[in-house]
Amino acid sequence: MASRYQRHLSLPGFTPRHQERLDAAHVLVVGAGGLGAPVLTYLAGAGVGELTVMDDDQIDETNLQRQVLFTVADIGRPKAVVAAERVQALNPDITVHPLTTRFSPTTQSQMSDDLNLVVDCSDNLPTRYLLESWALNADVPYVWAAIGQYAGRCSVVLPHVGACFECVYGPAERVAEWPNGAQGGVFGPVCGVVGALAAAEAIKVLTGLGQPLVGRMAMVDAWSGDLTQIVIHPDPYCRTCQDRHLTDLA
Amino acid sequence: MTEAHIRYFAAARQALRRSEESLSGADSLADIVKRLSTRDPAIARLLSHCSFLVDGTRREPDHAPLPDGAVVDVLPPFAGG
Ligand SMILES: [Zn+2]
Repeated sequence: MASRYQRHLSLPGFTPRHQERLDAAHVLVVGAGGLGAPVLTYLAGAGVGELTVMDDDQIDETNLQRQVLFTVADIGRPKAVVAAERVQALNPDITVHPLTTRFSPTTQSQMSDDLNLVVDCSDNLPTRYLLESWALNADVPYVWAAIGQYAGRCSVVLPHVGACFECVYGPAERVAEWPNGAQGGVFGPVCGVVGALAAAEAIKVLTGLGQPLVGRMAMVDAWSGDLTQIVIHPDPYCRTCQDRHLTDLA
Repeated sequence: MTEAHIRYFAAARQALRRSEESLSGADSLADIVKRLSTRDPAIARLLSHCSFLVDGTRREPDHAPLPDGAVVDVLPPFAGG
């Protein structure tokens, strides 16, 4: 793996030990769409040793405006399978598993128990609540990214530190997207900005480098060009956090 | 007189036509939502979907008094991928 990761190893603070941590890691990426494309590409390029890609959807023409792993020839094929092929070709040294199912109470019990991190690139609220609660209960760090129209958000939730997705949005049964995802449209490049950010956070958590976006939410507004972040505190009434045994941020 | 600093994000910026503002005499989150909602029915609809953080912690739009100088973040929820 020497020359492939030379530009990692030239970075200040980045040692062969950090690269080994990436190589030893297994990351689950749920959603192989607009966000999944940059996340999977950067994680595969970075040398994350094992990637599981989960998506139950097939590629259609309207995806090509932003889901940059796919081409016209892929229309009709399963997103997870095509995404896995593309990133496997990018880095033959890693292992990539496609799963063409949706994350659900049934499929969550079939998930590998050696996961080191989950990146949520899914496209709906129920999956997000389910995935977050499952990951944190399994003591697996959870990186989430989400997009809506011209805007995107990203944050990191460690098993025992940091406000979670539910802390920000409230109980699942009372949240509704505004505007509704498919009706609202998506400005394609926002997927790239926020997906790349989520990939960076995943690599930071896996290696231990840098300051992860814990207890903070990064926000991109491509309309105004604003890049901002806000502090987010755990919601004392959050159900996802009831059993997390939260410790304060340093 | 209490003053609240309100920050609007994503679709809330378009609806309110600004990224932030200060409201004086803002007694509670419920009061703020009520005052903003009278501006336009579209704003009222949007706010009924939004999540509100007061100084970083989520709060229901209730009648609990706000601390003077509270920063209120207005976050329309979205989950696209
Ligand atoms: Zn929480």
